[in-house]
Amino acid sequence: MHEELRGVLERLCALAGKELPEIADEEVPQKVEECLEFVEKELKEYSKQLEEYSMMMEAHLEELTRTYEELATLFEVNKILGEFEYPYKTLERVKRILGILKNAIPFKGVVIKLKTPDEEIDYREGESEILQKVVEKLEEKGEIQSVILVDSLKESEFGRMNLLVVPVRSPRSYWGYIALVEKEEGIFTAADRKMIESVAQQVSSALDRVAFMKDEIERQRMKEQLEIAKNIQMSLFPKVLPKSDRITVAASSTPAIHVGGDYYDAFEYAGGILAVVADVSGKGVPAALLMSSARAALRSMSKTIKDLKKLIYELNNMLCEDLTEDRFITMVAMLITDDGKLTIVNAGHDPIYVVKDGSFWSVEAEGVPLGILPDFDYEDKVVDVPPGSFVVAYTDGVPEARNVEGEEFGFERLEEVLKNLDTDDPEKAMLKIKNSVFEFSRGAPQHDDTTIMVIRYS
Amino acid sequence: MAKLVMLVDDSDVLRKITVFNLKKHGYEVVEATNGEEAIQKLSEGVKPDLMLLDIMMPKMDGFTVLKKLKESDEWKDIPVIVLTAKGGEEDEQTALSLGATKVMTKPFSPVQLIQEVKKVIGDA
Repeated sequence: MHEELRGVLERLCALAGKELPEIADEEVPQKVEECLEFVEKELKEYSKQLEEYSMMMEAHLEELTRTYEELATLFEVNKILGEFEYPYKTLERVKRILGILKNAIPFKGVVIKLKTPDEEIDYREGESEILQKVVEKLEEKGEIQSVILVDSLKESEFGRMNLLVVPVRSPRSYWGYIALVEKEEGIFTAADRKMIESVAQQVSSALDRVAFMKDEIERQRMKEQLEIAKNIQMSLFPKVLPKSDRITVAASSTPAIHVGGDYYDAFEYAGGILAVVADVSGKGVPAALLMSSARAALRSMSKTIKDLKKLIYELNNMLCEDLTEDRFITMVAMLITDDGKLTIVNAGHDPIYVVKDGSFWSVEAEGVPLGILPDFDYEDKVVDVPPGSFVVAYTDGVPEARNVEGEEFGFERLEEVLKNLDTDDPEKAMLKIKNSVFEFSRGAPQHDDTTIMVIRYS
Repeated sequence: MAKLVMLVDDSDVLRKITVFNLKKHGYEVVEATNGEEAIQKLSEGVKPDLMLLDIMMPKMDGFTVLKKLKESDEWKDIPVIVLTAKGGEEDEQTALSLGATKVMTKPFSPVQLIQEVKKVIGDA
């Protein structure tokens, strides 16, 4: 018996990596008892530790799952916001994001208020009365500056509720906010906050991109419009200017950055040459279209109405019918014949000049711009132009051209140039005026078209 | 008897998370770290109700496993949810054309994965 117990003791000692010390036979049973007690204690300790470890392991896996959930959510959110198409359809994307976000943060209610470049979003999910209260309280605050986390345990301005609000903002703009109201289980945690902040950050970056894109598209559209307007305008100018034995016409029109509505024309009319210089109010495509219809009307009416005063009268009546209140055209019409007779009708345009041998005089005629007063009785002024003179007409782009200091070219500088034309060639005279204006205004952006017409009577 | 899910993925961490979540929802799980191991376990008589299958794995990739499954009379009815890390449309199309029930892109949400598992084979 003792031998068997001694054998058990030996094995127990071997388990602990020890040799069995010398002991007397009668001590063996007690030693076995002690050993078993020790083993029992150890086993209990191990089992307790094992339980602790597996709990820890579970907690870690729980945490890992959460992290993975967050990662997956942010990945998805990024994907949803990253697909770029225009228009951006923010609301649609926000709804998709909420579906995913709900996996990571099981919220009961949500309010998303965003003022995007394309739409105003007020999206709510949950109990409407509570959400309305939240919205009202938040509206009182104006722009949300930073995260608001309200604990449901304490009474607050929102009443007793668990609330997590994050602003959607970037250094560029404030877009709105996302508010989560109450969780299905537990309360909003620091991890939830981090998560929703990151989502808000991504949304604001996306909206920044949308805004940028929108500006860019608008700019592109403007550029295209200007291009179209320029093309229309250029197509309206006569390719070849008329000429008679004693009359030669030279003209040029330079569009400004924002294409305006300058227009000139010259054609044979009533035994002489009719030359017109006009400025249509407004800019861009509308001005160019208006100019185009005015030109067509003038050209077609001139086929049947052979009196200049009557021609302008009818043109004005037609434009009065067609033009809206804020639109009008200033125009000076000059009919010059080979006998040196110059008939002028001026509809609100700058006066013209007659220049000869370094001296000049201006010819003024009264009249309101076309398209404003129907049945207006325009004055026609007739002057005799001496041989060897220039008749000079222009649009306001000439006197109003500005230099880099902001000074205007003005009439004095224009008249100074006219005194020193020093040529018989209308083309050269026209270029001289044009160059003086451009040299003066070099480096400064010009907002008006610059049109100059010079008629030589020899 | 609880439903059995076979999880085939070479990523230890992802396997641990997925096993943990599946077990939390009452499913039994048998694991394989690559395609070869998965086929071997099936040959040994393991009969999963569903397979969660990664695509990029050493030894035998997910596409090959999927092909073998669908070619076998015994295994062709096992539904397969493919887990792909590439996120490429092409992978998704290939997996679906080979007979995958569903494709999920990594990192997928564990909550969503459980939802999908429930959708395919019901509660544990």
